[in-house]
Amino acid sequence: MRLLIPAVGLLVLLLVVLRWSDPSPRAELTVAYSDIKTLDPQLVSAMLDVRVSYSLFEGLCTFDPATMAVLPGVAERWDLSEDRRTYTFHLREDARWSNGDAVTAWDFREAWRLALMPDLGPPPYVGFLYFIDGAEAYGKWCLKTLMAIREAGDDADKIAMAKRRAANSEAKFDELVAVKVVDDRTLEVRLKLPTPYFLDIVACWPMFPVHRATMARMTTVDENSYNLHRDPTWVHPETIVGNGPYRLARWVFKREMFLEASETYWNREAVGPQTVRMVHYRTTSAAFHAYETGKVDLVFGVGSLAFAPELLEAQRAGERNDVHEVSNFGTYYYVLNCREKLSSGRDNPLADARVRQALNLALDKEEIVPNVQRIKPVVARSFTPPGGLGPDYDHPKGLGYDPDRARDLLAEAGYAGGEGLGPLDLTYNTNQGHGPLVQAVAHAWNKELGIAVETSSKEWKVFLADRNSGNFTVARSGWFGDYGDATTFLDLFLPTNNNNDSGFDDEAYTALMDEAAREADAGRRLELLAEAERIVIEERPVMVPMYHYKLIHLFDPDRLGGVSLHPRGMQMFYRMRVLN
Amino acid sequence: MWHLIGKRLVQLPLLLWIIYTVTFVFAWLIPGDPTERGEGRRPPAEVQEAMKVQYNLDNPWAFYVQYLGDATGVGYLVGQRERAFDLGPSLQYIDWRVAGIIKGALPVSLQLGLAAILVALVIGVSAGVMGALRPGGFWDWATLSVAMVGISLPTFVTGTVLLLVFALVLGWLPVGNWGGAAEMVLPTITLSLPFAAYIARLTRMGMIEVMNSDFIRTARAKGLSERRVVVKHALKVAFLPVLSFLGPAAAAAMTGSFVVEEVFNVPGMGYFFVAAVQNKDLFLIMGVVLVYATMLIVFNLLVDVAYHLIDPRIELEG
Repeated sequence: MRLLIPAVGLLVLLLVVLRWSDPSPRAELTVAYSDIKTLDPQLVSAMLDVRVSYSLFEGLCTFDPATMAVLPGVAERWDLSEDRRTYTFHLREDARWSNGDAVTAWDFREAWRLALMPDLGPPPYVGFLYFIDGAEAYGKWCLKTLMAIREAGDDADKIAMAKRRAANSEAKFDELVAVKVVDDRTLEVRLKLPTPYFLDIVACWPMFPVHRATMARMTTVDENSYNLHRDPTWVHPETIVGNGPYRLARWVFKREMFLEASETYWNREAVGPQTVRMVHYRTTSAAFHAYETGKVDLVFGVGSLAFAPELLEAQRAGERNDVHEVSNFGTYYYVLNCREKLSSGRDNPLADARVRQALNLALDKEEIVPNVQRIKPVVARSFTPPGGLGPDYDHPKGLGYDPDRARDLLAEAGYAGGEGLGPLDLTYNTNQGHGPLVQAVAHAWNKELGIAVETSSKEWKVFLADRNSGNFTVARSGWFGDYGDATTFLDLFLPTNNNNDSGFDDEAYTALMDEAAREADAGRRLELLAEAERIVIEERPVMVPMYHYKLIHLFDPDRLGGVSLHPRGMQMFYRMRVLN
Repeated sequence: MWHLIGKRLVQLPLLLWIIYTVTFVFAWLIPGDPTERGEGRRPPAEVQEAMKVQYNLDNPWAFYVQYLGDATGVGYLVGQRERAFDLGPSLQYIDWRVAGIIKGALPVSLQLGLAAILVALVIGVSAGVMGALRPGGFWDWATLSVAMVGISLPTFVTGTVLLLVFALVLGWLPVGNWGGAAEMVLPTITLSLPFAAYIARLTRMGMIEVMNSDFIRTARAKGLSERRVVVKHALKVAFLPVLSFLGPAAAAAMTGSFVVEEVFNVPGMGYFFVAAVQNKDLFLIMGVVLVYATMLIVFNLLVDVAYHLIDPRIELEG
């Protein structure tokens, strides 16, 4: 009998413990998800976060994810001025925030103003706003005034100064930036230069509006830095106010997110699944098991699974019909350091463009890439990926496999047989499966050119810091395009770009990019851009492009419709359809 | 006993302060820039600089003092802060504060850890007693072998095998989700196995020793039933080594196991120990370590108190 008491006690305790978890109800659509980094549209940069952004918010324009055509969003129509520099957006009357307030032109003005202030954590896409006349100047004003407060004498009341700065910042915005609220439903935007892809930009998430009252409530002056500080938890279900097709009903960190169709969304008839549940899976294989056992309807991006090639094989053989491959809008490459000196102080052999050409010509990518990357992504010859830029852009041919020419160029540069080039350092980040390709490339350079290659893998943070500061010779890299124009790739190698790890600073390239930006004729403009790309790919290469990323999605096409297979990878849950 | 509890409670802040200081030194020395984000879109340099100023990432001493003040509630008491026990924002998961992350993950870990320790206790003690009753007999041999395997096999092996057999091949249990009781079975068993094995060995050792002692002979001589002898007299004494193991074991089980979490997709704390360090997410590192240290100290105190309750002869020294 006495034994029973502890046994029953344990059992009761166990039951209490079990009662702790409270999973969400089943949703019409369940999606496997990995890390969500942020829901603040102005700070979003990861593709997974972008998809959630488009569920919770909507810009003046939006996309058809299947074709990436620009569609009306909050704006029902827009006019473009004669000189193609002024857009006037006419907002629809029935656009509403999730709390019932009307979405007005003021909400866009406020969102763009806040995004331009350097205060609110690092806004990764602030460059999108720089297309607007005066936007960059406003950003500079904000920074200058912030620095002035920080550098003011110790006896100054810096907090009061910071509050004054915040108060002045609205008037300053109206003075400097060519964004004009004509009335609640009309917004006028003048651009620095005619920008043929501006609507594509306007449809992107960094241009989403903010609910002004919520922003005002959640923003304070930080007493350490005198920054304006927005409480980042404003995106939690209790406080977030959005204007998209869904509202955020529940978000448990790293566990699940639950979306419910918004009753205030103007286009609610178009919303397919009324509830969407995103379940967090730490590993792709866990997500795959959940899919196979019917727990989730859709898994994005299973290409990293060890057996992904077998899945593709099964699809091709007709044994499965749920494996969908998409060539993505991004390129995997090795960035070449173009600076005169390496960070060690040694002369950089790669400063000579012929050496960089030789490194390209020595690789038989058609052989190497499919052998290492068994899901067989498209081998890259140019930086810009095929598809996603429209049919009129003429991608450069790139440097093919020509080992003889590679050896000649290396000899011309004074490194015949790899002599004198010293050990060439090839860096990559640990743990992400980059090693095998790095080894294959190192082996090929050694075999074809006689160069001794030293490979080194570094922890992610260290790797990023080294790559950004030029502390490398050759480093693994990758880039995804953000909008449907070649500049989303080519701007990367301008000397002013903070993501230009190569240190490439080329007058001819910059001049061509400038000329393209000023060119009124669309066809001629694309020619200039293609010419610029030829410089960074063929003449004075800044990289060795390896392949274009491939995505593999899992979903049963008989059960789920409306999943986009467009290279740009945009997905909108409200356009999906749960069939039968 | 009250003396002991009082003494330990006085020691607690001192211990936490030492742990805080040591952790801070190591965390600060992790190479890399905490403001760097993974996705590769880098903000202008001035913006990154401003962020460092905002979070004291440019000044270790200021960070050390301010975080200590915020986390202990001193900053709140002197009226500088709106929140007491503020563990700061996460630099990597920018929508969340460390307290929010721990609030989401810790209950899951507590739930899994508590269940695992309970299962381990039941399995471990029964196996240990069974083995000790006839040392060298079949049951002794069998339980010892199983315990040996349980201790030796890492959880990523047992977890994966259990997952493969019971979830994928037999299809009896669901995988890769967290919520219902069925989902808890496999991770609980996996996490409990090493603890169960250890408890079994401790119980067996204790029982064999106790069963040969004089008071057991006396108990038998009194004519008590064998069951009563084992349960009432022997087990109570033999359980003491198990009890002292339970404190750190419970703390270890309840603060999460990275491996078990990875294998079964459990949204617990273990992940953040690893991720925080990898991302040099200073606030998260300090917050998670402080919470873990507090739990460890409190569990050890609870064990000492339980010791005293089971065997009042034991002198409790602080």
